Amino acid sequence: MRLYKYLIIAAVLTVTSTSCKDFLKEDVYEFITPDNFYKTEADAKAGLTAVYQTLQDPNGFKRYIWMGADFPGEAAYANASSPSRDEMDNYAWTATTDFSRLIWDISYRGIRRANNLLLNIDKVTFKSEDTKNQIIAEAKFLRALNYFVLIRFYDHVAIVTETDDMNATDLSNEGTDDAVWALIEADLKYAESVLKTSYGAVDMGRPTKGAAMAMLSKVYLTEAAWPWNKDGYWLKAATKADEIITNESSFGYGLETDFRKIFDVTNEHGKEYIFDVEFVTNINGNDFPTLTGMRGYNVKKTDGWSSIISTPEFYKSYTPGDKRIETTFLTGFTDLKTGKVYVYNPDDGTEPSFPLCHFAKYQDPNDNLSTGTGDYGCNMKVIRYADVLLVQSEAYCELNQVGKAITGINRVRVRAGLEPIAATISQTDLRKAIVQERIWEFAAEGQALFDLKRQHVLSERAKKEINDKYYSLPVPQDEIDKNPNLVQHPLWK
Amino acid sequence: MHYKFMKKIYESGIGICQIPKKLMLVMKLTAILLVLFTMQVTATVYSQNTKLSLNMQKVSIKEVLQQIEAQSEYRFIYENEKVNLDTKVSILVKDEVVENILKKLFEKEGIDYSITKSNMILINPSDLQRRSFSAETNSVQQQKSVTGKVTDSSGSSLPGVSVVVKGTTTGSITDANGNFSLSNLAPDVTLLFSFVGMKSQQVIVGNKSSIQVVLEEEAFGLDEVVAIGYGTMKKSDLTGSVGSVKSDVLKKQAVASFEQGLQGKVAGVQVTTTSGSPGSVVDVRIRGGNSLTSSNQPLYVIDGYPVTAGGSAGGSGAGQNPMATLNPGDIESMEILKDASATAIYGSRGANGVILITTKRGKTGKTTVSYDGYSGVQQVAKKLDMMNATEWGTMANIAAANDSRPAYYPSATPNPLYPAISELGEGTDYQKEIFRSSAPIQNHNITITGGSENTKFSILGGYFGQKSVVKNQDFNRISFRNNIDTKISSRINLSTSFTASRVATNIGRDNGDGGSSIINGALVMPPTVPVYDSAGEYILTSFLSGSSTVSNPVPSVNHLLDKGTTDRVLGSADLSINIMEGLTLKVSAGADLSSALREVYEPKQTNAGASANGIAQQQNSRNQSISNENVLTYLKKTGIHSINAIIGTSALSIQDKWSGMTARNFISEVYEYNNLDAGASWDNPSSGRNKNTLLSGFGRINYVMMDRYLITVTGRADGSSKFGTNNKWAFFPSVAAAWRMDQESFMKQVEWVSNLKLRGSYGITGNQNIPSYSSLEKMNTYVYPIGGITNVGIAAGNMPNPDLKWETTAITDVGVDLGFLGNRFNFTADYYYKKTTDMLWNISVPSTTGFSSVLKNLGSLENKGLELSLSADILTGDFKWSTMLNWSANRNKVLSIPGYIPSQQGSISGRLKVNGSWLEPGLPVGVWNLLKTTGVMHTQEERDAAARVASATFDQVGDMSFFDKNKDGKISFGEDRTIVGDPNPDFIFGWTNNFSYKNFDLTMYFNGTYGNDIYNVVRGETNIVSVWGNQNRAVLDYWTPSNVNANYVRPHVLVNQNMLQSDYLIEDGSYIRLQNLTLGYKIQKSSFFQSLRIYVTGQNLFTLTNYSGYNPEVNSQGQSNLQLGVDYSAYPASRSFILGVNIGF
Repeated sequence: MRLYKYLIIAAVLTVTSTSCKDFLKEDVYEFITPDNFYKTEADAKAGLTAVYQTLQDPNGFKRYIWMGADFPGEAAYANASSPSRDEMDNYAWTATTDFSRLIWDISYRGIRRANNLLLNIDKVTFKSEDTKNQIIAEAKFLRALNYFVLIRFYDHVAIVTETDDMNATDLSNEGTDDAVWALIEADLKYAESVLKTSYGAVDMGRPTKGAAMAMLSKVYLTEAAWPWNKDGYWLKAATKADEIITNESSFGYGLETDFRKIFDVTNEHGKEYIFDVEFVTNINGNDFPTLTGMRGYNVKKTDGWSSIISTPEFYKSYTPGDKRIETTFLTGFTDLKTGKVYVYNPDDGTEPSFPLCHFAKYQDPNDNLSTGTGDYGCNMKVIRYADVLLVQSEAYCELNQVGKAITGINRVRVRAGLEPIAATISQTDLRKAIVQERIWEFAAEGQALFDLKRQHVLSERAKKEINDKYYSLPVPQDEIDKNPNLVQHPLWK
Repeated sequence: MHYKFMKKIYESGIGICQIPKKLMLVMKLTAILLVLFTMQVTATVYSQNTKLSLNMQKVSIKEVLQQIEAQSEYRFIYENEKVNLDTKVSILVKDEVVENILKKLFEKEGIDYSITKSNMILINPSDLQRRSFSAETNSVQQQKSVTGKVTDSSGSSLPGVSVVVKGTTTGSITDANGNFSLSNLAPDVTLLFSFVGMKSQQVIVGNKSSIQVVLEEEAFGLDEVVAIGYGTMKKSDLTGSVGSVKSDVLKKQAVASFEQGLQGKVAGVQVTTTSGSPGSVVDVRIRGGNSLTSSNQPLYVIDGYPVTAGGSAGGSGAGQNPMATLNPGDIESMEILKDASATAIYGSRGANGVILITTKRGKTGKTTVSYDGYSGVQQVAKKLDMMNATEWGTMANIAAANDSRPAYYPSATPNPLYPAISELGEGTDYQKEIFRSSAPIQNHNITITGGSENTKFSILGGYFGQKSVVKNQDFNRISFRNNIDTKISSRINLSTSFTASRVATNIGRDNGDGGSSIINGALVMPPTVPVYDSAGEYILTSFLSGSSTVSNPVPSVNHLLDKGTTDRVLGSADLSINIMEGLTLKVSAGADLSSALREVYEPKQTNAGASANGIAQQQNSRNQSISNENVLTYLKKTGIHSINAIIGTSALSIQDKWSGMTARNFISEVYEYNNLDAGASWDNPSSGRNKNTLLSGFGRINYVMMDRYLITVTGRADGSSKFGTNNKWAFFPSVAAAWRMDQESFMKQVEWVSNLKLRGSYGITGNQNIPSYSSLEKMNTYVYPIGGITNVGIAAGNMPNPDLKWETTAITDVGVDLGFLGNRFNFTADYYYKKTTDMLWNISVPSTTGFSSVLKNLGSLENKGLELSLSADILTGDFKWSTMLNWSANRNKVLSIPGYIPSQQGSISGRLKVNGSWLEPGLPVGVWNLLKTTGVMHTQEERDAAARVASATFDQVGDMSFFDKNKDGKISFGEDRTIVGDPNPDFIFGWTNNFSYKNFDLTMYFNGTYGNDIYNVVRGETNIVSVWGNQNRAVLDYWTPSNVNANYVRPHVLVNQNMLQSDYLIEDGSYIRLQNLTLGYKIQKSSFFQSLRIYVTGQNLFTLTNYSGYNPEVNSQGQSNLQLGVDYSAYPASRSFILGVNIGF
């Protein structure tokens, strides 16, 4: 018998598991794991790009951060698009309203990515230390921006940095305010010290030294104001704004003469630009114009869902002749199919020729030549030069230096074709004028809630009693359910 | 009567799984005996001239024969009682052929023998000896002789059939040509013909001298051999719960995919064809769903090869069923392994049950050619009765008045699109526009089988073509199979199985979230909207204000191009090596390669194509799996002990790759999907690749004592690449025991009980159907523009979980098998309890981590149930009636999910804001937690008594009222919802009846479910009494001041969201359906053919149900774990009428 031969075959064939470990190791192809990442300069840059990306998430600046700040204000209204937007509009939001959860989630996602990059950046070999510092500075700028969003919306938030356990599920948000503000300031100061004043075309969109300074002035302004009321911060804000404004030509900053130019997609990085969330058609387009666009007419460029609209009252609050009206609102259009011309005129007592008051800031005729895709190129403005001017005005106004305070606001007013404010104005009146000016200037630019919050004028502006809790979003309920160490905002308890 | 086999070569466990039962029945004696007792397909190439040498002194003839067997491949067969082999002899031969040795041995013994081609030596007493035997048993009577022939139902002769005079031991067996002869018979004797696997038959001899006997296959023989994992076993030796479906059952149904043929055939197996679209996904659940996140589908093993789902190219629209690439006509039998005793051998893939598929294999003998084909027509089984334009327009005007809007159809008509009601007429019947009045279906299979002693083959070619009842959709499959078994040497046998197929489909858009779905369009499009505008161009969407922005379905069925092509090759080779007596090694290698392509062009006539100026798409998917298995089988029977043991290793590697690209904006339409470069704009391309591996070691011992005490112990260790680094290996044991009580002496007296077996098993199986790389921290890419150009970013997309592992399901099963009156009546009952632990769930983590959830093993759920099957040969005379009934009930419950807050899962329709099922520990998976309607508020009194809803528009007399659970006088969804429906049936059943009379046969097959609810989401569009879309005529009984006792609410322009979030959409889905009615006629054999049967079949002839939608057998969510019984614009069922033939040449 040839038994031995079979036994050998059997032995060879049955013992195939000599290298089990290798066989069972997961071979990955379509993604990268942390094991094979953070090695080269390109890895670090890619890690940084991912931090930027959360800004343009729909839950971030593309939609929710914007709407969350705009709906509680007086310019923007939700047009029957979803219950949660109505809640934001009508001061009826709760800890289960999706705004509360989505803004919280996306901001921490950005923070996680920034932390991850900062934690691992020392593993990367850089040809030049400058490159490394530039990347760190950008990451810190973005981390500060995310925390700034969080603390302005929620007042009390958990803090996690690259030195902490990023997977921790038991973070507290009690007594963290000072640490969060300190981190924001430190990050922005570092960014200011490292970042360049300007970039060539290939780096357009990265934060500059001026951007860090402008953000810092806004941060100081916020810390100085309600509800934090930190001593000495009005002066810090004013000083920081001064630092930019006195050197505006070296930063290349200034006001556009034509208000429309600010939102012109071909001039998005013009002199009024400081920092935007970037959108480019065909890369990661913006659909915010779709939300503010007009539904039911054949307008092509301004087609949309009429989801975020304004009101005749707000339209009429502008001083007649204000040059911002034409850009802020859709005042008329031609139906491309029927050739019929429609105009919006809430004042003439007749039926307006189209029914709802629409915003037009994001409706740039040059934007997105193909239609219907929601793939627009217009940026979302995080901070622009007019904001710095108004920060300066607000800070000096609070310091009761009316003379210094009116310079900024008057530049904004003159550009809009309005009369400058006289130096004789009282502090109280100027305070109101600055709020009003911001509301007009930044209508539908994601600023309203924070402007009202600093001045604590929500009830006053809305002409009805609004509970103070509506200056903030509650900590999302499911977040509290997941982590018992998170406590609800005192006003929301 | 017992035959004795001197040489005992036991079951190898290998060859058998490729020898299906039916094939076995028609095998020549050789093969039959091999299968029954030796289970070894390694019969040798052996010359009759083989020379033997013997030198034995004073030994019994029996011992000499044993020696001959030891030296050769000859085997001896004899009837123990008839021949005396104990005579002591001495023999000395050198290099003699066996013929001569036997001659020497038997010349004085009065023993006859014959040698078959397959080296069987049949030993019979000579006439002389026989006479002396029969003289003992028969008194002296007038004696006669009889000769005859035994054949099977196809006319093939049956060798080896035992022919016994009833009440005696006198008898014979048929020779190689099926002939027998008996002499010295009393005239009044009855002959009993018996053959394993065939129904025994009695024939009274009377004055006949020649008898023709046709034996019929026995469906429920205990000696039936069934496939089990990595082997086969006699049904009587099973300790587990295993169901079987044979080809003749499968053949009776015109189905695109074999899983559909399983429906209602086996207790505990719920088969849901999720859509009436040909080639659509079939949901198969064995004893309920075990998992919330991993697949709940069973493991399919085709000819020993584990087949993963395979490829279906991506893209929007209907999912295609990858299993439909296999031709159901190739299948000889399917075994459904249900309990842990049966499935633990598949370890981490066993928890959902295993379906073993055995394809047709060749047999030794004359080459046979057969053709099975049918052709027929299908129609939509049920159209929904929708409003015509006049009815709809009238309702729309009332709705407009109710909601203070101008009338849609004023009496004076300034706009041709909004004429007066009186001019609306019938309008457009959109269902008629998209349905074919009759859709052809055809199937052709040619089977060629045959073989020599050494090589057996089967070649099958098949074509199946089915046009869908919806225009522009069809399913075509062409397939080829070649199975070869060949003996390489006396100890080595090679079996190969190979199949190649192509499925070509026109897919179409038949489901999805409204809008572009053809079915949705046909139901929702208002009948007042014409297909074409006055210029003869398509109206793309409903232009009516307040209505759904539904797309016109007609351009889609007329112009959309959506072709799917899937090529699949599945091949495996098994090399069996008989190492020593009882010990066999089988080495198998195989590969399953599939490649799918989806080509889509949405031309400018369609709504999507119009806005993008033409959209072309190509999606590719390539899937491969390769496997190696090595199994050692040991079979041993000594005295009362019998062992069947295996041990083996297995390695499996699965890899998928896919890519997709889309281009838009085409200047010319001539390119269709063939030239994507011609598009002026492109979407970002997509592509991916993944791989997973599985490495296993397994073993099983089946021990049988005294043919009545049975124990099976199984274990499998699986290492999977999908598991986290801390949990790479899993072990799955099971133990089972059975007691064949009928074999006990105290049961022998109870004659009417022919089979009684008690079974019990417990074991642990797993589910590793999680996506690859789930345990790893994946770095995803994220794009952000800097400097106006794309910058690609990389960041972690999820939290890693190095502890990730399989889900564990522990299964307890107790069962009883009962047979009465010679197994004319068979009854099987099983009770099972399954508990899944370490259940995978994406548990939320605080977002401060930067992530929202992580996949973890937590939570548990249970399924328990009862399965009953009954089969009976009720009438056995000329008019035969056999019936098979199975009934099963499963109860599913989520036990716990730590850290999970109960919530609605997923979304059914984003635009209708209809969410999915409610998941909560303590409840079954799939229940719906919604508001409860309490009826139309007919009068002001009823309105005042009802709880208030938020919207004043929907809070008037004539509107719907809701159950105020918290009794606060207000309806709020969060607080007032209750569990209003459960998609899990109380029980399911299947009932098959076979009748035959002479040459006629009739089969009726019913199936059904009871107690399940359907989430009829389409009702939220068509029965909501709103201008949103066309409405079902049922709602014509809507409330108006003159029809206050209406069953339906008053019309509105808007849709009442509360009704969409309520039990208004829940309906009872119980049904009983005559799935198949077949009448066949067999024509006598002629010179052209061996057998010919023609038949007519009606499928889905009637359905008894209260369900108002197209088809109660539905799930628009396919094989979803959490969404069951959802009907959202699901495809209608078809009714078909078929004419077919089975020809054997």
